[in-house]
Amino acid sequence: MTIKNGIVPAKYYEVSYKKSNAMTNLLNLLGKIKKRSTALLGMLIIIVYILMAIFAPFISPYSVKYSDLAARLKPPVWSGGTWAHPLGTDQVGRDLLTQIIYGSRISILVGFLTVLISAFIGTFLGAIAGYYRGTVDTVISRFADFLLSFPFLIFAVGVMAVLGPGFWNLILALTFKSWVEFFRLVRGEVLEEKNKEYVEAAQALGRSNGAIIVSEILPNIFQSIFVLATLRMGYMIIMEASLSYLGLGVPPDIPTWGSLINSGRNHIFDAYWISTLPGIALVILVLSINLFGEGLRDILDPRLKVEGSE
Amino acid sequence: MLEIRNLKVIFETDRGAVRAVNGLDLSLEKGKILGLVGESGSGKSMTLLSILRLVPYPGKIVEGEILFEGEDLLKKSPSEMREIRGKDIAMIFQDPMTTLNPVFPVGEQIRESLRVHNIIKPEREGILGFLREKDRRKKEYEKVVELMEKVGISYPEKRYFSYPHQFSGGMQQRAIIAIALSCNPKLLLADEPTTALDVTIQAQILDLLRKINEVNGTSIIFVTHDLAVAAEFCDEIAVMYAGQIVEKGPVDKVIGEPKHPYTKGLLKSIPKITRKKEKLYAIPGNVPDLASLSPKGCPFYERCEEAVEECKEVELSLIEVSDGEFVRCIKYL
Amino acid sequence: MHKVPLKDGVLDMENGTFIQIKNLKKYFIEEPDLLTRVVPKKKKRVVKAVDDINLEINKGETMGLVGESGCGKTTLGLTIVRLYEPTDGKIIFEGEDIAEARGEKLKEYRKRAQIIFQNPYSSLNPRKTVRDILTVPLIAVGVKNPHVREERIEYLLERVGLNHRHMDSYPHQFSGGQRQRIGIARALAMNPQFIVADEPVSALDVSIQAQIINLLEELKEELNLTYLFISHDLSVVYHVSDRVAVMYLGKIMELGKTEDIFFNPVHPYTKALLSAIPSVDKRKRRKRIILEGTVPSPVNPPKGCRFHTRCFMKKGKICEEVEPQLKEIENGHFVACHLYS
Repeated sequence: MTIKNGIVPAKYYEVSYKKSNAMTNLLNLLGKIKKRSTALLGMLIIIVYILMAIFAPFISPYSVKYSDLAARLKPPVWSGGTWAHPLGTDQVGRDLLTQIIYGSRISILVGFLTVLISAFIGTFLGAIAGYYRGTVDTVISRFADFLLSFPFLIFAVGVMAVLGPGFWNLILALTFKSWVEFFRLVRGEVLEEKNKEYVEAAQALGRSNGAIIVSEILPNIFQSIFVLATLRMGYMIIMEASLSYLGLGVPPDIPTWGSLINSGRNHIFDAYWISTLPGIALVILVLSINLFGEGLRDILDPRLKVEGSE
Repeated sequence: MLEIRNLKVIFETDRGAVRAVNGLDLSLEKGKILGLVGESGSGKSMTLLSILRLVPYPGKIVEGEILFEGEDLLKKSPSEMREIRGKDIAMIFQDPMTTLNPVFPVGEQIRESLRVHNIIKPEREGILGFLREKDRRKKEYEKVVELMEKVGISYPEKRYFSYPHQFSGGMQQRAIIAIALSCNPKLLLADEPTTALDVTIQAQILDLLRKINEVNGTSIIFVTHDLAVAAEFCDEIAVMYAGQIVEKGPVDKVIGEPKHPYTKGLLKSIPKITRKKEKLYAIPGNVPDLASLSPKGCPFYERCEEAVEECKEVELSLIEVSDGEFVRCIKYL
Repeated sequence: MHKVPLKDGVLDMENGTFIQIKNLKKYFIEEPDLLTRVVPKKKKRVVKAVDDINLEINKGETMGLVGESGCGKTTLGLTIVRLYEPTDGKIIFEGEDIAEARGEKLKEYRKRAQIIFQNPYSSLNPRKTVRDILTVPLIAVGVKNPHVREERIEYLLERVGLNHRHMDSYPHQFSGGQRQRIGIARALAMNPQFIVADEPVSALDVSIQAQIINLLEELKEELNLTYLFISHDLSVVYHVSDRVAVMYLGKIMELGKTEDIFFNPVHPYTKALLSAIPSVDKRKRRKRIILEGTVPSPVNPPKGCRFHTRCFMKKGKICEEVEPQLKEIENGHFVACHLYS
């Protein structure tokens, strides 16, 4: 081993060479999820629901418009029904299985879209407020505090009452307030990241503020946003069901779980399945999303990371 | 007074068992100051925590004996250990900011340590003792003020009610030393107590610790990464590398005539203030990653300039090269 | 060891002064909250981190900057590379004042003045590969061809002692010393003439410190760099610097050639600071001057000489009332103390 003039040859500084890219990162993540049985279970159920929503016309036994008044209030198979209607029918003779399968479309779509839009708005405003501070921060933060002072459901009911039912109105009503959660998360994380030296280093290299926010800071907080988005999605699905239950969601001709639960209200004692079964479908989906989200948080959130788990 | 024999601490991690302390032998006489020198990951802090049996999860002491005044600390029950911690053996940590509780006045925190170990006995037991609580508190308060004065906190009566954030770093470290001294411990464990402080403050704290050592006869184990501080402050030095002691002995021997290539390299790589400036010697390579270190042979092999083939294989124990001086190196076999 | 350009014992100003800092001030003013913006408070808290500093750095030299924590040395360094906006004063870089430069002019300056950070863990973005980290400055200096960029990155990594195969690794796969090498490569990628090294070795292990110091010295010689080397470690500063400035509470107390400062210190603070350095060599140990108390808060620095509250050689009333100015007592040796005026 010769060391010339104290210059150490490069080969002494080798590190374990491992090429990382987006694909291996994803595989790593999946590997970690696999180790947590609850998160894995949640993920699998979510995938089943998504497939169900996408392929609804192919897997549901009847058309969504089909109703047979002769076969009203038929019980599910385990309560003495027939295989013609495995989950029974409602008071106008619609097949409940078909309705539940189609109902998943609205639930998943609303959950996904509201979270996507509010994450986008919240991240944008949060990054600006956290990075620039000052008056911008004060104005947005106070507005966010103002929105936070209303209970979500009452707020959404109010907005829907003004706008009237409709798919995009529903999205708007839900997004109008739920971006605040993302805003607060992103603002806090940006405040913390901004003080790290790598941001100063980027400034010293002459990068613009926009470039620093988008390509230096955001990649570092993306995981937290992702975890919050997953957890919020379950909540959004419940909100959608609640509004539909109150008749304030999408137009009544589109089946949703909330409106199904509502329609079975009058028959809860003689035909329990009309309300109960969509409710169970809802509970399972939301529970799965939460299990998955919490598993993801344990894996991704560095503050909760147990030493040596890397 | 303190003797550690073949201590082994293992951390179970996903990447396998990490040997943080690997067969450590150490002894300390009464009234002496022992310096434990090493880089990050050398196991010096773990050794200290092992003495108090405070090795954090997932670490475990798997082997060895720690004899304190003839008794094996590793065989004590948890309640006996609690009795020893703070009373016979006290510890000072690196970061004074996080050691003190920010929501209680500093004086109260020192008083608390008196109370925990029952230093000022209540005059009577039971309910009557409770009635005399006020007297007891007053005595404790006086004792705290005396302690604060002793560690060099000026205006102790006023400072008693100050909160940690109102203290500077040096003052906080003095308060922590006061807590450590409150029970008049026989052994003081200091884990890099001056690393977070400025040089002028470091000088003050070292001065204080030396006085405590001289006046009270308290033995000190002083963990540091700074050879120069250890050279000035300690009577004996043990140099650690990758969980093992590579060289130990009286300070003049270790610093004056270093034997192990690692000690030599460290001494050469410290910039010195001499008239002639020379290029610094640099030990090649990196501080080893304990998890991926080969269990066989000398852990310094990869970075050693005097290494020979056999170093890869040979299993060495400490070799006595002269009176009280030990080296773990094949050259002295 | 490189040579300081000396002519008759005086620094040769052949190239003119490289960087001249004139009356530089950096105050941190407490950010007003909503309430105080509506109802203005009488007095805002002002931290005078850098208070009226004059300093000249010559081309090719290493200026050491020492002082205890909170003395403003890092603030001064960050202000000089314009990561902080100066409150007042001038930073003249090769004859041009860049204290208030904006836009393109500031970008130009960034290419010439770079910085190496203290903490190798937080100074590299954990989500970027080494390639990403080094690509940013290369694009900034206009290397557009990806093949040329690739070669440049390979060269830079080899130059700082890393294998180019590590290009696609993330920072967490490296040790502290290796990360600091990446940080140095990032600064070098801009082809700077001047580098502020802010405690570049403080966070590293002892055996790694020497590697980084040697690397910085080699690079300086090879690329004809000028350094402002900030450190609280006096031995390191002695080793690397041609001249040294001692700071205390936002002011320069003593300034001079390294040998003068270390072997013939005149300011009481410098003397105390030097006496506190622990040494492995028994014969080198000085009689320790233990300073009383701690550094006062920079919000309310003492009147007169800022050091008078801890000074062991205080002359009298004058120290408490009149602020001493930086005066030249011999060739190139400046001191701000009433004992020498």
